[in-house]
Amino acid sequence: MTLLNAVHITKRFDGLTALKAVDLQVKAGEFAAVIGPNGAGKSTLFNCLTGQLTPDEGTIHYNDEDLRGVPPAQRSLLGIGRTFQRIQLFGGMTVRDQLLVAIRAHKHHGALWNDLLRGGHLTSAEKETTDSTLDRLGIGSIADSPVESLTLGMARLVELARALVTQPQLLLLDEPSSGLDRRETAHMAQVLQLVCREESVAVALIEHDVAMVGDLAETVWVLDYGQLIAHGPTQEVFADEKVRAAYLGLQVR
Amino acid sequence: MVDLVEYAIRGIPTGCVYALLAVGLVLTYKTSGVFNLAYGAQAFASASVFYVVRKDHEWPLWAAAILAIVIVGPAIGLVLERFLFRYLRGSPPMAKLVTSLGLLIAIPEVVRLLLGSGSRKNPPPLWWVRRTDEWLWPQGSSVVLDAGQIATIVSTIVVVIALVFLFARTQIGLKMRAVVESARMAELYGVNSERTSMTAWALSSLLAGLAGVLVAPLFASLNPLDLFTLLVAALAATVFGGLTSIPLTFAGGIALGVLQAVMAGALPTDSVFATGLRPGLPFIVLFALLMFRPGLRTSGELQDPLAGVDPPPPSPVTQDQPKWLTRGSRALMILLLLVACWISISVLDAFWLGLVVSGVCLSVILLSITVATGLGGMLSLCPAAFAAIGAFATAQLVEATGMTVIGAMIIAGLVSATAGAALALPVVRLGAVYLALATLAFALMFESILVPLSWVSGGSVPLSVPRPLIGSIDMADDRWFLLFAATCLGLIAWVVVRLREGTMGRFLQALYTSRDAAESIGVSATRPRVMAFAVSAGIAGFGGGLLASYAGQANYQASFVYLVGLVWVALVVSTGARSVLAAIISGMVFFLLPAGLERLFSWPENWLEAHPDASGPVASLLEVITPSWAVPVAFILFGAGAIMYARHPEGSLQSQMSALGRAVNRRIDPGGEPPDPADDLDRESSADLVGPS
Amino acid sequence: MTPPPALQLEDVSASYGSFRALFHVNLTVENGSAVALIGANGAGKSTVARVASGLIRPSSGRLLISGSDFTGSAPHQIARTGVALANEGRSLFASLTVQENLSLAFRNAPSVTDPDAAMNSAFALFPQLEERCTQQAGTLSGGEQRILTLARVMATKPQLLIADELSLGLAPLVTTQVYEALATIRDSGCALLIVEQHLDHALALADEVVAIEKGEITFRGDPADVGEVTGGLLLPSGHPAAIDEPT
Ligand SMILES: Nc1ncnc2c1ncn2[C@@H]1O[C@H](COP(=O)(O)OP(=O)(O)OP(=O)(O)O)[C@@H](O)[C@H]1O
Ligand SMILES: [Mg+2]
Repeated sequence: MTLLNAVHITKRFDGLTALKAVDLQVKAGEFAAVIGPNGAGKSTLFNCLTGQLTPDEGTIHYNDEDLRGVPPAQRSLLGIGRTFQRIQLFGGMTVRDQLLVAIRAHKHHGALWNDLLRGGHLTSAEKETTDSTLDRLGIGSIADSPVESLTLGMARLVELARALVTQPQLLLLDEPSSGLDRRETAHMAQVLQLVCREESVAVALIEHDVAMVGDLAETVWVLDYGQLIAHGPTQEVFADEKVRAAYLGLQVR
Repeated sequence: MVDLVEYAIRGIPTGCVYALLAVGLVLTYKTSGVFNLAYGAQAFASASVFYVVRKDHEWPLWAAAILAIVIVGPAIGLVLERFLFRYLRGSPPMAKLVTSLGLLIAIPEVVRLLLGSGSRKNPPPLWWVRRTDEWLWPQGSSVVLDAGQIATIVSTIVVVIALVFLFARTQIGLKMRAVVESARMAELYGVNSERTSMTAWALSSLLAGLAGVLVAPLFASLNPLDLFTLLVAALAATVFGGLTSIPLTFAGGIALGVLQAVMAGALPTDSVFATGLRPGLPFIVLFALLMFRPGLRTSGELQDPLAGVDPPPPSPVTQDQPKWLTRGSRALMILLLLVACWISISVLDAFWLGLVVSGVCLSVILLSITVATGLGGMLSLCPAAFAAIGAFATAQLVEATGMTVIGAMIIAGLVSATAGAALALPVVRLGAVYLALATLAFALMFESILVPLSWVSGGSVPLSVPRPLIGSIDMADDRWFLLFAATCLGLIAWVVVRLREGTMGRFLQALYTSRDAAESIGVSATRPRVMAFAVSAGIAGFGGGLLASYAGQANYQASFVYLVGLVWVALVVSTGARSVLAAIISGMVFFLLPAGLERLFSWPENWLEAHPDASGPVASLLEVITPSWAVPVAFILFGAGAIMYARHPEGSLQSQMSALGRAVNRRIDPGGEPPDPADDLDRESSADLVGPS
Repeated sequence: MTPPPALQLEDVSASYGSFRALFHVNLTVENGSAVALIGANGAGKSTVARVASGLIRPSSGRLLISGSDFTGSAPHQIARTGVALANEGRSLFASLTVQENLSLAFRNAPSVTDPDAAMNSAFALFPQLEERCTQQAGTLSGGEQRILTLARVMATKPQLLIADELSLGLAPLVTTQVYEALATIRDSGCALLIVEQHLDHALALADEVVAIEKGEITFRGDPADVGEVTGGLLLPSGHPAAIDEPT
């Protein structure tokens, strides 16, 4: 079943057309990758999907619901989670608080009287959820550290945990391995595999680490200069001459 | 038609004044990153120096001009850069705004202390021609330009051309903008950031001096408030230029002046429009621009990419102290406040008791700042307007319906909260600086348009508000009123603490530090902020009603002028924006400090009276000190508090408390150092080797 | 007499507040040679780059550039001697346009005599920048920002080029292209100090490899010998990745 169906997305900035009639389909539980040269429009595409940007043309359907005019927060409640190319954690909070904000937003605990009557303290159910999420990613030990003290690799995992705790059906990941060292990248790949295979969360991944894409992704979508130049099963796309010329370089595998 | 053209031409000199001020503000913002509300105060300082040397000491014009504009102006700028703004480079825009607010309060008082506080009538013009010389322009028309106006027009045009040229043809503007964004990065590019930022401050302060000396003759006497209000009127032009474009800002200033003149000429003089709209026009234009000008929604606040070079800030103490300690210290605080209450009731005389009660009422209002600015991260500059709304509503409700005062105060709070929500809806998406400007515009629109209306304020005679009556307890007795006010304060403080520690506080914090990320996990970008704003306005409204009830009347001029609101904001934010205790301390200090200082400064006089035979140096020294120092010194201290904020952006109280908390923690658990945020997992082993220095 | 090395760190220690990041590091980058600095995240690589460019003042030890002592100098003084740092993360002015970023750098770099020529060579190196010329640098894509940073440091033809996380966010094709350009620059006499996670490329370029771990240098030698040494040593203990992977 097609979970996300974006058709003919076009986005213009001033003089530049960053996306030209791009399509993207992600099936439930599928692991898809979006690749392409720098400035091809990958992050812009994600921003259109999550509502951070409004596409000039095209439609986005999620679970057959039209997302036009749906604000970003609402899209998260519908089940789209994401991480960012430049890490965005909430400053001045602990790791656990990051997840807590996500949990409460999804349980609609934002009402004033809730705070006044019950106070905003961590409940034991919430503690359990945050602990188990962090443990699954192997970072249970840092639950109560302030985010300012995290290394890049940890911070990327925390961002992922924050997205996961909302129990999304679709996870959009923008270069989750960038800046990580080899071990951290391997660990990240493992985690992503786990998330997709065992919890059947559909993943759309932007990556420049070709090996990682090759290992993880079932289908690949290739953007170049804002246009979709190829898509299909990973190995087929990697063998495509056009893709090799535009992105991979001819000598890669 | 011809009339309109003539009106328009008449507006050009005023437009140039706006343009001159606005261009200077934009220049400061562009080249130093500070939206410098103290720009008018700097202008006032130069104008005062010019006045003193020119009129009192009768210096020649050129010497006076050089001293006031070329020497004093930049000197002030350099001092500010060296001792304040240098330390604020990487701080959020809010910190810089609050610091400039402190300067706005302190500089005029310092000037008064140094140069004497007598009123300075008829400021001298910066021009060789006498004021009476007038030209008719265009020939044959009735438009009259005097020398001062021509001087302003010429200087403005020269300044604008020079600045445009400077930015287009040299690298200096580029360097300054680079240093504003990240001084360290500029260094990596090979730019001497210290010298660049000193040049920027000297240049913009030179312009402030020029503007002050040029504009001063427009007023009958030299007065910082007039200059500041003129500056706020000119803000519309800066927003028109998007805080970046100097030519656009110039155009905006001229357009504003022309619009104002045309309105003045074309509208019948006795209509509501003329009386309300004319003085309010610049603020309406400012507000409208903020709402509709594209490009202000995406807040362009950038983090210094090299911030990681600094050692991480110490974690807030609440994170690493045990729960019982938090609870214990809170219980202790409440106990202390109760004791203070009891002492006030049983010991203080009527004068001091009155001040304490006023302080408690004000503390309630100030808690609104804690909610909007501390929790919400929104620098709202209109707390006094919401307090006034509450005060007026209380008065009108009691008068119209005869309901109980307490009920009226609660409804007034709701009225004010509704007004707050209505203002918040369009405003909360703006970037930090623009949000502050929008609230300032609101405060001035309220003051110039709504306050004069009799269905709002009751007209020129303040509406009276009775004291509450509960059963047989008559609050006309100040002691009962104190208990009542303190109970209200306690309740509202409890609400604020609950919100801060609850979901609301977390949502607001998340939105403040990363809006995109907060939205990506389902936090609405507007709802929590609108709610915080409304709660804040509601608290201010209730507090305003309380204060009015204590004072017996809802007196706008005495209690709620917008400038007073700015002092409140500066006080609370600099003491600790997120802390309830800070709001309470600020409320008390606001009333007790000036009175206390007055007592202190009247001591020499009394002593001299008691010892008429005293003479010599001691007596002459003591003679200098008079009780009239009290208010200036108090305001300088208020301002200094906000200025100190430059060094402790979490607020002075908060930084003291954090240090104290860490010390207590060490006492309790000498082995386990509180976790330093720098010691994360993979650094831990190396940190063990050295330990904290 | 041989000229002194482009960069020397002598017994340098450095710290952030109470946390010490480097312990008695000695490092030399000879003129016209390329040194690759490798190690896990958090090992102290970036701190070395920051000390070398003057962003952090070492708590002890000396920083020598072309033989003269620059310990404690302001970063712009060091930049004026021809040291260019491409910092990790965003290393540009987001509020300036691409062109303004480049022109600011070129007009303040001592090695650039003709800013326009430098601009042209930057655009020749990375044609995609020319298309983005008047765009605000902060709105560039992540990779484009990196490209702009590299264009800035490479086109100034510095004495010593320090690049932290050199190829972060770059597409494979561009990475290859960047390393080719770096080889050319190195051959024209510029010294390189490169911090990199993609070891394949870095090792192919480097004349010497220095591995750093928990703030101390643990290996120094020929790139060919690195394979065995890196085995599992470059990871701090207690790190999640270390738990999952059997060593
Ligand atoms: N706000 C903006 N204004 C103007 N141009 C923009 C804006 N945002 C992005 N662009 C341009 O749109 C193009 C696509 O950017 P995008 O961030 O989507 O690239 P990307 O595929 O994610 O690249 P990378 O791999 O480098 O991250 C780029 O050329 C970029 O410069
Ligand atoms: Mg991207």
